[in-house]
Amino acid sequence: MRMERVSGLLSWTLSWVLWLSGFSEQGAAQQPHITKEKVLEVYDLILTIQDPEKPNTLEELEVVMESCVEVQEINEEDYLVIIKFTPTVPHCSLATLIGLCLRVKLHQCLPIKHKLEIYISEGTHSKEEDINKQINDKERVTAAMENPNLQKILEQCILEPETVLGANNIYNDEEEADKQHFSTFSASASTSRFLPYWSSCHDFL
Amino acid sequence: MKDSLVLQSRVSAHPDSRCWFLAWNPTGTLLASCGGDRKIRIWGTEGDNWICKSVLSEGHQRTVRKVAWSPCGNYLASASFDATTCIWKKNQDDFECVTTLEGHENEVKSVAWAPSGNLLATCSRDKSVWVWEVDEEDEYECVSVLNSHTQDVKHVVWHPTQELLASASYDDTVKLYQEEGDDWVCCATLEGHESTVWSLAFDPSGQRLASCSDDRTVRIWRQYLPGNEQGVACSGSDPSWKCICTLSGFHTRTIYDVAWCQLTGALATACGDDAIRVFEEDPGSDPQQPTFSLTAHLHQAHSQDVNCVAWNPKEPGLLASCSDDGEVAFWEYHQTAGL
Repeated sequence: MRMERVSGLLSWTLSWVLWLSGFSEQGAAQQPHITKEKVLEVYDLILTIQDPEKPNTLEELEVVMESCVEVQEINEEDYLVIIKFTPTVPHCSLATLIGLCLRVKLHQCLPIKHKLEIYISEGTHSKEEDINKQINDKERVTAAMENPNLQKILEQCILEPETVLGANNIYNDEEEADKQHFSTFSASASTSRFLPYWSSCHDFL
Repeated sequence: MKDSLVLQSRVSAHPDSRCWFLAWNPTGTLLASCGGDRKIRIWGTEGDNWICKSVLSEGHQRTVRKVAWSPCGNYLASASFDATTCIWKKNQDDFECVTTLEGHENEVKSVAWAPSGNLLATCSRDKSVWVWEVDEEDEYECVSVLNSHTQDVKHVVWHPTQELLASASYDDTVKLYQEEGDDWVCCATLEGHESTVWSLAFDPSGQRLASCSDDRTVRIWRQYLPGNEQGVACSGSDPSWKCICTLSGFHTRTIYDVAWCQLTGALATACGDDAIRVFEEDPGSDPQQPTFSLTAHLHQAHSQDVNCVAWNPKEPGLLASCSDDGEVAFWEYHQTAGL
């Protein structure tokens, strides 16, 4: 009886210790799991943003990738989101515009409490410090966003393709789907019509 | 430390918008707030509550970024992203826009009234600082356009007693200006911050100036007059300014505002990490190399960035703050009793 109790106690202690170490492993594993989830949440919102110049999304052009999004938990349910994007061309205004698109899209659509930092990935632009400073200055961004021409361009870039097409996007056949697809392209190609508006007054930010 | 800053009241000052700035009137009875909804609201107490006494709309087409009361308390100036500055005249609870100052090429970021009441300063993203003179007939005339900064100018503030003007800029510097003969000139440039300087505050004596920055530090600068005892070099008859203290490691994001209480000497900061902090100078610290201690740190003072903190000019310890969440909060600060 005594032996059973001792061995019972021993196995209970052993399983408790094992449980503890399993829990701490799980705890450590939980952190990256939550963060990974948040990274995907952020990335899902930005990958569909249309490039201001080309009729492609930022993902298609590899301006953004899942690996360019970093999420850190600052406090409980409070996150720091850092995005590093790679502009396709060294043109400053377009790089700044992409930065603004990222900011606006996340501000409008990301439901979690967060602080956002956006940077041009190192070595991809000669004026990256200047641009980084501008797109992270919330006063400058807010003031620029009050410009109606800029608002129009951003809206075009940020709108999900489905909303461009309309609510009903269930296609009966492939041909229909292709037709719809083309109209998306033509809608986004039209954003380049807006570029002259703000390129001429390049002092928008 | 947790109990040193106690919430008195919270109001939704600019719903669905940002509240950018606050200003107490000289008697401390009214608080003006302004925001992204293009409105200015005037708050006063009714019993224990803060209520909105007036709404000033139709003055600006875009965000109102800052407001400032005249020293006599009868006028309120507002600086807006629409590139204009409005001057409002107070008539009991009504405010009427009596003049609109134009001239800046783009967003006006700040406006400040000189202690004499005869001068006004404005600054803008166009990199300039303008000095305006007001006469007895309420006529405003621009007397100087100062182009010393190389970037967006974020804030202007006047010395509490002298006609000395300070400006803070996106070019990471602070500049000081005074009148020399008939002209306004830049008489000093304070370098040291590693990023945008967002705001400034003079101490009650005017001998020291606090600046806060995107580099997450607060710097305290001291004025040294020519022939000073400490042997700080001055060029000609211009005073020299030296950084005598840097508060670093306390703030985790951009510091948007700093306010120096004219009654108690306490220093409050508004930070992008949603917190309000208060610092006090350690008693007995060397005036040439003062040390400051953190006496209050309120996490989550607001649910978003804190944009402004303002000490009531008459009631010691009464602090107002505002945030990107559109709210204004009123706090009671209890000073630590003797160290």
